[in-house]
Amino acid sequence: MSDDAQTTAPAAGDGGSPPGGASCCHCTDARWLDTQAFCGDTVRLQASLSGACPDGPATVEILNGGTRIDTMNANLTGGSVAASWIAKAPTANWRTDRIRFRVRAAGLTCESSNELVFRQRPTTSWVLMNVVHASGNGYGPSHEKHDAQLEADRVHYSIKLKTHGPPFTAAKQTSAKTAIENAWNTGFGARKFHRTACGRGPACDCAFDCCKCGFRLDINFVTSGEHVDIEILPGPARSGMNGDSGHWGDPPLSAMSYPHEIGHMLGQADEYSSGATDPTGVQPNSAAGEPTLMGNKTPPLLNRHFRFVLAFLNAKAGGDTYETIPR
Amino acid sequence: MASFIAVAWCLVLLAVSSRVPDRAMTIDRVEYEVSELSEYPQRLTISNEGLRYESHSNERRPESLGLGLYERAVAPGEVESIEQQIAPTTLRSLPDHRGNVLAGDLVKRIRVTAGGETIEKLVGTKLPIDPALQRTIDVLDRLVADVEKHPRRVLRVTVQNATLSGTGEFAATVSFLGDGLSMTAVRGPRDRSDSPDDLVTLYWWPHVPGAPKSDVHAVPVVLQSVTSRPGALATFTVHSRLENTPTGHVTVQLRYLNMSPTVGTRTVEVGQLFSTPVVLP
Repeated sequence: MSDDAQTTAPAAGDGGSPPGGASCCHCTDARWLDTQAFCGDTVRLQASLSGACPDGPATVEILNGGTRIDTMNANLTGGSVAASWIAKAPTANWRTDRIRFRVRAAGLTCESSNELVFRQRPTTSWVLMNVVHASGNGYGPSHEKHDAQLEADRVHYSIKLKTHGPPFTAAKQTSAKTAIENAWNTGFGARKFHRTACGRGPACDCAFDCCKCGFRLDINFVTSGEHVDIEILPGPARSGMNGDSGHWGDPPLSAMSYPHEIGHMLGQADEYSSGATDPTGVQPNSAAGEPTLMGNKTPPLLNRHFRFVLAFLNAKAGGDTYETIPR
Repeated sequence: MASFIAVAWCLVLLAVSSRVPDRAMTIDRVEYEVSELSEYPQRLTISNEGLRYESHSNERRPESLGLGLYERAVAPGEVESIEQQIAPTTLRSLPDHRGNVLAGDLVKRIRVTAGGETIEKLVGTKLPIDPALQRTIDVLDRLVADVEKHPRRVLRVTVQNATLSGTGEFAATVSFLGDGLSMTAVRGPRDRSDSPDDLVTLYWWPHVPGAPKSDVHAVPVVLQSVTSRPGALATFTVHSRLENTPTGHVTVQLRYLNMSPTVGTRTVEVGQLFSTPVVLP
């Protein structure tokens, strides 16, 4: 058997028997043209075959280790196979996965000589956010004030609260912390911030955080270094808040009062007509209050309530933009 | 000399005219809102058609009649008298808290429409209030107290037979009554609501004579409809359990909450209605 059919890399599959004659078809090169990409980017690959390689169909198999993670149809034309793949993280270890490919054409198998790796979002350390968002109806601004950090897989917010006035016991602090975190973290729900450049579009089914980013809010009660010092009022009483100060009725008038007030610290406006409404119109309002946490204090949170979280992500993501999905 | 006299005369006229009240401004309408319940502020409306007060909360004065609509006609010359007391031209120049009121704060808002112009002033609770503006607020508060003597369609609540056992079991009979010339309705426990808040909540706190309220607890209740007492729109028995009550007396208070203006085809009063606190041994 002639050696002409051997691939340039150790063959993982058929080597094929060379036809009789002077120029047997053989692999000469197979490589990624793009070796780094964000998940969702379109990456190019090509394979070159030399000799008497008949034009015809080709199969491209994308490999993670020895596992085939995707298969594409292509064509061998003039000794060349070119294809594009929308990069998709195969595992939760996408940050260290090394992606190769294998081309089958003209009875041969050509394996890539290089690897594709996934680019990662930048991360940041904690920064203090202190942003004034104007309010309508003559109210002072909904003053966004909290710490924020872009982590590997999520935008992470932290708010530190201090109280004064009647004792706000450890049990009450825990109850308030749980209510607020549940409202905003569970309220974020199945949403993700998703790369707008992802070739899979807003319906992307990627299961990992490569092209997607989450959100988490943490609330903690402190004795110093607080973002806001809250006056506790014997309840039942109304609550009010922005990033400068606040007062909480204890107990509050509504089970969702505290999560609603924290919304103001996240820059959110009231969504009832007599409140501190949004002059930009992004947050609508109505007499009875929109059926949201910022309106009539029912649990739902909508994409608009996370628009400033998205803005933070887009400001820190190194020029790669994100949107909230589902839209 | 003639030119000097002319100039002097002009100066005199100017001085006099600046001291003459602006008689061109006649009040068309005054609205006074107090955001006891943020989504539905209390609203007093004054016009030549009458004085109308919409109440959606009695949080600050649970002993008041209730929530709903109060209304009476204006007396002859009353609007002019109110105008003199409010003095829109002076009101316009008074400082207020615009841009400095905390979201959720108790806001008092005055809107005076006169001569095609609307003047609006608002104050919160965190900053000092201009004395002249406070006098205007006092005038309007007195008018509210007066209009409250004329219920047109008002819902009120009474709590009877309240008991608290040694093991913390609370029981009472709650009746909702309507006052005024028109019928009103109340949302019952089986009426659908989208609010996460309960229809009726029980609040209790240790009773310390002479001391301000503190250590207030909110507990859920079990409501059961019973045959209405005579004259009542609805009557319920209320049961709840108070945990860790101190030795001595406790004060209890019930709150009815409805944030939906309709229940099915019925129009119901919107707001929060507090019962008068009761001290129980």
